[in-house]
Amino acid sequence: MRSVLKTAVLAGVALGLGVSDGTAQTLLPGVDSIVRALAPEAAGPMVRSIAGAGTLPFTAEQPIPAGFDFPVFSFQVGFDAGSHVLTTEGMTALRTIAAALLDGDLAGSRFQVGAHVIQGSGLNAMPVSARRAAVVAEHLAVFYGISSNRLVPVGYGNTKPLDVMVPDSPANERIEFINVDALR
Amino acid sequence: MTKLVVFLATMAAALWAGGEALAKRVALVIGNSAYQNAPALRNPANDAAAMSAKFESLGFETIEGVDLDYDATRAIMRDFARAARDAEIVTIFYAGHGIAVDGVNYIVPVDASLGDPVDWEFQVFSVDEFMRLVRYSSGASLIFLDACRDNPLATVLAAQMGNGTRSIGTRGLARVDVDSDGVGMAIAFATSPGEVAQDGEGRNSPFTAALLNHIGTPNADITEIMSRVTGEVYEATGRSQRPWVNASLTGPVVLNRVEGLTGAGAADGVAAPSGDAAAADPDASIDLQKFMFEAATASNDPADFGAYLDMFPNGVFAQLARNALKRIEAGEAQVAGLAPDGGAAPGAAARSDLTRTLTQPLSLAVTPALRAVASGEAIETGLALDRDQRRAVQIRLNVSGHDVGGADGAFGPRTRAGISAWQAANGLIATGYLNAVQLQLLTANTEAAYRGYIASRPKPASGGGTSRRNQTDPIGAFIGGVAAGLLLGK
Repeated sequence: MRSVLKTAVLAGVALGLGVSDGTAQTLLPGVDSIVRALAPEAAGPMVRSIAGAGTLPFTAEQPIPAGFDFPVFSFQVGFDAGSHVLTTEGMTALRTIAAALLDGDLAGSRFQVGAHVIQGSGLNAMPVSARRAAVVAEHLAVFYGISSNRLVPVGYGNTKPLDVMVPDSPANERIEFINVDALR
Repeated sequence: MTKLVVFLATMAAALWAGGEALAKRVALVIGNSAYQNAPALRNPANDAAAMSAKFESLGFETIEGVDLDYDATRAIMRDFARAARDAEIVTIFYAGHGIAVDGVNYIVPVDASLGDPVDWEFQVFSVDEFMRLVRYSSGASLIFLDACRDNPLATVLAAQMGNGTRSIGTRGLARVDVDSDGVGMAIAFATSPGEVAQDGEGRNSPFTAALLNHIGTPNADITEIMSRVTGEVYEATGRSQRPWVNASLTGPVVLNRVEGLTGAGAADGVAAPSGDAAAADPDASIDLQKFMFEAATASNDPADFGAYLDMFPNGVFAQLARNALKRIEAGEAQVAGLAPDGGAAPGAAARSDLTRTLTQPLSLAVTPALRAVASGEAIETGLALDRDQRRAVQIRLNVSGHDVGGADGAFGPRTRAGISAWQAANGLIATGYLNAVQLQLLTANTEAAYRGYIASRPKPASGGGTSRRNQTDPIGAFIGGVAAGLLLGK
């Protein structure tokens, strides 16, 4: 089952796996397009219809079930393989994310940081993804002053692969920033 | 032949303030080349002779000894202690073999065999003893230790002592901390602790050669001399040997005061390799200063102000140049201006500042929030670093100037010391253990140097092979020495 999150902008930030050639091309879109993807107005009809209703059976701290079209920006953050240690490429991508999160249009919004991993050899997907999500939130808070109140880390393990036909495809390893304002 | 050169400078409280050129100065110079139980060393005798002449030219009464055995060393130390008691500046220079056991450094007389796990201690002299000697003097004290690292005697001793209750540095001396009981003190290794220093192709080791070039620089403070020595050694060794200085000086110490040049740092070894020859005409110096400072003011380029300060650290425009540098830096910081502090969202201004930097290589700042994140053993364990990741951390520490020796992927005392030094250099509490955000800071801010290092190696990190590790890993060398000793003993 494919993710039905509405605006899954997938950016091919090169996965920095330890020692690479050092010339990883960052294909991350510009700050403005990230801001547009994550703005509250980017929510789909379903989320807009339930916004403010306050009757949802889940919170921003829980994995978001399939079918909800929250504003989302998805990209591949570089971590060392099977680890929750950020690579410089990953941190460079987060700098762009930070610029977007600090934009005036998003300044009031709260985001779930969802980490998705693949079931690599011997890798326990759920705890690794939870730690990756926490590391991303901590990095943004510590180095860019983005309040941790605005970031909710959630580990998805390998429960929501983008490519269900190839569950171990590297493309399934990603971080999703989801605007969860509608869940207030 | 690799060689360690250690420079220790201890400054007693009553620093020599300069002016009295007739103040008593005493130097002890020892060079041990002809070892009876180890291969002879090529340079120490040369180093000692050259340093003796240099000290004498600087007005030191010099006590020199070459190829001293244990008894001769004891005797010369006694002579020196007597002479040093009423000296204003005392200096000790030692070239020869050295050894580090349990973090204590020893110099090794030519008759030492070190074949006995108990008796060895009665064959050597600890550096502490030398430091006590210079404390007989109430004046400024300088100790230079020039000790061969690639020390076969240490390997013999390591083999005799067996298992790891004692740590023996078979490849170098241990770092020396300055004590801080109110006495100004500076300590410098010619290379970082535990790292390999070179013996050099010429008559003198790179460190001694640099010392000879710069120690006589007129009106230069000893810390300035050491920074010049550091730079010269670093360049002369193809950036493989980086001297290490630990200083808590309480005031300036000038070895070669030249009247008429007061206030103007003399031209350094770039212009006049001997250093001494730089006793330039003060008027010419002022003209040059004026020219350089005006050029820097016109260009407003930090590099130009830096060039002026390098040449005239105490020059008449030095403070103005430093002020200008501060202004330029402040301006650049405003432009770069990332790392908003605290938890409050810094808003659109921060965003636009950050956006401006997005095309630059990543450089993370030490924020108050970063300083507030605790680090410790359990926290580092939580990072679950594997061997390759640990190796990368060690390389990154090395390329950032915090030398931890060979990147073996095992965090021993040297790596811990390197992490502590890196933490201290970044204003973080020096725990010796990394947390996630500190690891991120280290990783991001060493990326270019790390890439450069990886690219300069013939093979990628994982393909380094065992020969490389044996070459640079003191633990490996130590274990190897024990194994060899056991085999020979049977």
